[in-house]
Amino acid sequence: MSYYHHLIKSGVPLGALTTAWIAATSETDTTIISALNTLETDLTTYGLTAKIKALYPMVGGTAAKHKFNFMDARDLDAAYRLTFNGGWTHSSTGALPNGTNAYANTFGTQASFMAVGSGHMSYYSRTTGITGQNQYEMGNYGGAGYTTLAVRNNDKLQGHINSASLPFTTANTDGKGFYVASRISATNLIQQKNSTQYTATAVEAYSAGNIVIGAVGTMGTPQAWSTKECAFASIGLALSSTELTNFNSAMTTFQTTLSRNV
Amino acid sequence: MKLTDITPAEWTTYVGLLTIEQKDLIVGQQYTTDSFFNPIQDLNDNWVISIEEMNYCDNNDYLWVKDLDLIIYDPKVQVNPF
Repeated sequence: MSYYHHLIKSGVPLGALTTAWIAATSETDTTIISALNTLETDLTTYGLTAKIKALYPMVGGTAAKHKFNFMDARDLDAAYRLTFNGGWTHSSTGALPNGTNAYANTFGTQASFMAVGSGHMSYYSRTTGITGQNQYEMGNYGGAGYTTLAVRNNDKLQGHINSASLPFTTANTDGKGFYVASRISATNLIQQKNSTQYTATAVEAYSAGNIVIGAVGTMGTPQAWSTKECAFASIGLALSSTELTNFNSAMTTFQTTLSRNV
Repeated sequence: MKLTDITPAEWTTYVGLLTIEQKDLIVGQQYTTDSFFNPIQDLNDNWVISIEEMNYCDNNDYLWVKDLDLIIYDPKVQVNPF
């Protein structure tokens, strides 16, 4: 099989997560395999592996490959494998929701991925967007709080993890880039776009319902449908300022290797 | 108007019009591998699906969606919950 040839040629052994993902997807593209293996190595080097509960690399060009959680590549709801609903276009650059009825269900709530005073979500967007769009790229709301990430919602970056309200917004007129929202304590949040971080306070309150990608989940029908192409997404525990910087570095390497960095 | 009458640039403008019976047939079913139909209602409470669901459908049980009449998509007004 070609990934063994890749292993022999590169001299770099494949990590356990990469090996499991290959087994799940039957991927043979050596560039994709190399990118994933380097990502796995970087996550280990930076101490991020245990903090990321779901990681969707969106590589392989089909829903059948994009659906898998790299951290647990079983084809099960319990492994937070995605199901794609509505109009998605899958390609080598990622998964593009249509902004009309497309969303992907993670089958996990905030409690599945996060802890008290600790949580993050990330989204790599390859789409600029336009002024005036009311779009959310992932998350849920309901219960007492909001766990929502919008990269350019009415020209603002809005990233919240179990927040009681949404006072924390940063002007953003270009939706492309790697975005992370991280709750690092009961009161403190960090938003990151690429290498730039913004800090603020927001009281913690827990959201309810499944977290979705391509819209924002509610207790009923998802809303605020996105048109931002997703080339990566993750959900998990809090990432500190230093960890966010390292995560962005790993992401730049990953997307550059795949020739789809923006 | 049918699927074959529009260009990819017009995909976001149109949707496929369903009867209630057709909606009930496809809801929760796969239109292609690991991709599920998600019928929604437009501003006038018509049940509709996206052009992507119609165009990418390769499930033999539902190829009839490619023949649906198209209408201009008029979304329900969403109250921003945020």
